[in-house]
Amino acid sequence: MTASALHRLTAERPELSVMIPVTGRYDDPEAVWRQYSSALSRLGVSYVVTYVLDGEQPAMAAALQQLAERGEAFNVIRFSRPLGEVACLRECMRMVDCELVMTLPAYLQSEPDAIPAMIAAAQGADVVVGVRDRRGDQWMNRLRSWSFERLVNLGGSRYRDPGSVLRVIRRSVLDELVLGDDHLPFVPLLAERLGFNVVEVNVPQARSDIHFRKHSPRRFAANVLDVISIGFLLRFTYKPFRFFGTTGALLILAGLIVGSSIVVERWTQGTPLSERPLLLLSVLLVVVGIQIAATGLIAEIAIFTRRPSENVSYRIRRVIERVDADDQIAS
Amino acid sequence: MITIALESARQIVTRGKSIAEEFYLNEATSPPDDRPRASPAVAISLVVPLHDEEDNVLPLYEAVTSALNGPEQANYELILVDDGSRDATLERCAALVARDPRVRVVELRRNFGQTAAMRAGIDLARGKAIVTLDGDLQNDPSDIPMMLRHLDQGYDLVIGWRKKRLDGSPRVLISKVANRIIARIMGVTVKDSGCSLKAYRASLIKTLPMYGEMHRFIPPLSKLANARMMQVEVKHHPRLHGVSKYGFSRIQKVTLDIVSIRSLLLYAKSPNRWLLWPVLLSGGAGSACLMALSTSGTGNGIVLLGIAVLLIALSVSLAGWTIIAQLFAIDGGRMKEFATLKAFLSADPIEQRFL
Repeated sequence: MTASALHRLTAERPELSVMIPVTGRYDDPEAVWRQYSSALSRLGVSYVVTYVLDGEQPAMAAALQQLAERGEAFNVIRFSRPLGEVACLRECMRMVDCELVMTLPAYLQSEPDAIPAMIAAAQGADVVVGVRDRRGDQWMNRLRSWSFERLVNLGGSRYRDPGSVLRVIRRSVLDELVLGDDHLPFVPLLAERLGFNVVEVNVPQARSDIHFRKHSPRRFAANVLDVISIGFLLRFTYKPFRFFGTTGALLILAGLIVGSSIVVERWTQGTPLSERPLLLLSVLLVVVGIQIAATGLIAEIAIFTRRPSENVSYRIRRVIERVDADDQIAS
Repeated sequence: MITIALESARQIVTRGKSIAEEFYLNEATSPPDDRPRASPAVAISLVVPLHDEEDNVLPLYEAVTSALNGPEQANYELILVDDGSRDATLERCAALVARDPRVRVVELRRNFGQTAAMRAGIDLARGKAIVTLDGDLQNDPSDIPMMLRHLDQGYDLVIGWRKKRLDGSPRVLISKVANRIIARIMGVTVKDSGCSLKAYRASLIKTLPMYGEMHRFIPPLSKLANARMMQVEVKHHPRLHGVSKYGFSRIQKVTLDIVSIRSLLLYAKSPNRWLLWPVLLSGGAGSACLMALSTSGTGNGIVLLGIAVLLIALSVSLAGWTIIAQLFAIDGGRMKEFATLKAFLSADPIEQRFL
């Protein structure tokens, strides 16, 4: 991975780091930049904008180069190949040392006027999610977003608009979370699991975002797989037998039901068991059930033997204790 | 690939402490904050998880202080773990810290459940003996000195046993039946596995795994580590405040946990014999089908042959699983910890006295 900084800002620690991942879709870079920077400059906090090009993206790089030559101030990180939004975020965090990170899309997804409200909400929260008001959107877009939202909710999240890029995340959250390549939509859920405070802010949808958009079916399939893996990991990582044992038990039960129905027919109608191929199905179900249960047991063993003991299942906010306690107890 | 919890506990604890020190810097009269902490003068740690128990905090504190007033129990700490309460539990606990230096309060970031809360307290405990009890005052702290004496005489684990259960009757019945089944399957007869009042030697409980629902299976896991276990009758009160947090919908989960932990116990005892019986049984049944096929010429042979093939395939794949499981045991961290713990617990108990 090569990360080349086209333009580097001062090393001073800003109050807000703004990350704009360029993963594919982008609008006219100059117009987007003008809108974002005017909204950000009205915030009254020091900030640094970092564009992260996920892949070569020569057209976007050239446009940013032009902007930079005109004296506009931002960082650019460019990956030599696409690594995903989470990698963009990590790289940006490595480059800009800052307590708050705001992610903005490279296209206008929600009105930039909503940015101040997001920053205000971040004062009392660890993660702020911008939820678009979709009432004015096209029905196809709304349907797709709705189904994606339902899907992510199946994974255990109760947050709205997982496709919204507009978010503010505290650095401590990202330090603690371990994220897969495409798990940025799940940050609110994963953060909440660790006891972080997640807040939703309603934001108006950008007018330019209201038009029919095409998404590749491959992208959608990847999302579905992500949701399944997240849902499984959250529920069963430390008790895999709860899942495998249930599945195995159901299969064994089905096998026993099929088997006993054949036995009943043997008694009532006298059909010999050896002439019932259904018997094979019954045995097959039981055998597969046992194998699945055994898989679950192996998973339990793997966790039992390999889980590091410092990998704890709780998170402490603080310990309230007297510093002088030992002296007082001793005396 | 995602792992949910990766930050080391130690890191979190240090961070938590520094916040706590800030918290009290304004009020503390003497403490230089960056001075290394004095070696703990604490011999006994009491760990109490609390979830929405605001009315029980003060009575609990008073019961504990009046129970542990003997000269031999002077050096104790009371660790109150606030498990994401939404009522005034935390405020009341924090008020106790100001009043009594022996009280430490651990605030969890959200409600993580009783096992995790207990684990948090145990991980932070500094005593050589650790006593756990429920925050709902159903346990009577006046039993603690007696349990500690047993511990000091050489037992590693003293389990409370509620002779007269004073709860609603269906709950008692379910719990009794469940106890019987668990005891039979686990090979450890625990009269009352649902009782939270337990006293442990710290080295034992700090080593035992406690994720998921493992707390139910502490006695069999302890037995595996060669711990000397004893059960004593303890007093039991009905709930005064708040509501009980157990339901009936746990039977399926507990059943699955029993199976998995039973197999873990078997595995930890002898990894190579873990699936021995299933392998032999399915292999034997498959061979029997083959024999039957060759001796009896009647009927459709393909069904019998199919069954024989399936059973033998199962036997082979289970044998494969056994080998994989042994790979996990070769230099596994937990197995090593267990061996160390076993050696420690087998040493002379008199040298481990704490009272």
